Amino acid sequence: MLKLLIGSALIALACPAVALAANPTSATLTINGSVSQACSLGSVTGSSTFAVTTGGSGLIDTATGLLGSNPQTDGNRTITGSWCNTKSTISVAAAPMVAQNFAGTPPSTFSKAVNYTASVSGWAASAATSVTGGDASGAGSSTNVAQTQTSPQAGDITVALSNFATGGGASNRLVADPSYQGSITVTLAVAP
Amino acid sequence: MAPVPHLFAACIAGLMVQGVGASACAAAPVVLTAQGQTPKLCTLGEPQVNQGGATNLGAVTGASVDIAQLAEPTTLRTKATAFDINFDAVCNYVHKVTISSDNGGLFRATLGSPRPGFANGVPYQATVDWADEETVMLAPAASVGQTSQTLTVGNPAAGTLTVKFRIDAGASNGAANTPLMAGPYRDTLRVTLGPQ
Repeated sequence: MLKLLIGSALIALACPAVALAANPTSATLTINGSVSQACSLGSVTGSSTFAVTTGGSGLIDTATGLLGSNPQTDGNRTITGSWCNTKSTISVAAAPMVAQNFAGTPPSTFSKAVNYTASVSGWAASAATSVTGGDASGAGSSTNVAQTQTSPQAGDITVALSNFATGGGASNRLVADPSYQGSITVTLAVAP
Repeated sequence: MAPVPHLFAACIAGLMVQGVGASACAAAPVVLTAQGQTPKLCTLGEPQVNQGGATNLGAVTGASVDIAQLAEPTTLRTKATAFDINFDAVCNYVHKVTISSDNGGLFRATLGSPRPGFANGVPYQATVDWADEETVMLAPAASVGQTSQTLTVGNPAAGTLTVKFRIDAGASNGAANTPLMAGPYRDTLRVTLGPQ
């Protein structure tokens, strides 16, 4: 719900000497108000955790130890109830899925990281994206592309994950770990 | 409980008479998580005997390896034998490799006490080479019984696991160079990858 903020109004009254004449008089008032630029990012419907699985066991093909076939999530996520009352920028920053219990650098031919692409759609004409760029240890920066919505906007935002790939190269095997985790941060801001 | 919207306090420039000056501002971000798991896994492929560099190697049929001539034909002393067996192997967690011998040496199939002046068992060594480490199992053929050797590996590993099988010339369960009794001699080697 938008809140209207009314700046203080300066009311000027002309205070002439009381006219005892019968002529009508009038006074002019100017009322000023302003609405600040604002954005509100809503709430995730359902779980905020994407479960990532493959055609194998968990993340791997048990015949080879490599990333399993057709890695995918358990579905997209929707952020409902977002709005901006002015031009806005939507962006997403994702971090690779990294084994949480494996300390140190994995041995040669192994990896403890899985990269992926996060896409945020439904707000601007094109999706904002973040492509993670982790090496076998998960180190490395992501490539983020933000999008601008030029008009005030209200509605739902969809977050989807895709293009999963082993950090450091597809020929690396993943180290065993019960928990690989990566974060996806969605940001909505007033555009300058 | 109704969801709490991630509302940042609207951009306010304070009290103003006309118009508004506002700085760009952002709503509190929404953070999601991608979650997955990788199970523990060890795989061991079929044995592949490296025939090119072998000494005294006979036929190889699947997982059965023949020694060409266990004894010299004229002296009946044990002939030197050497061959490597390779396995494609992977373990994605800290693990151990165990090599074991069912008999503890190559023993004549029909046992009993050897005839005086003869031997009926041949000792050998089997070395496991894996993940840049080695361990040696001795099968001394002293008495029939299982023996084993374990190598602990503190990291995931993938590549070729090699078992190096060696028999020294003249080795026997008697004195060195004791002639061997006639007949088939056999042992079974087992290689296991698994948790520590």
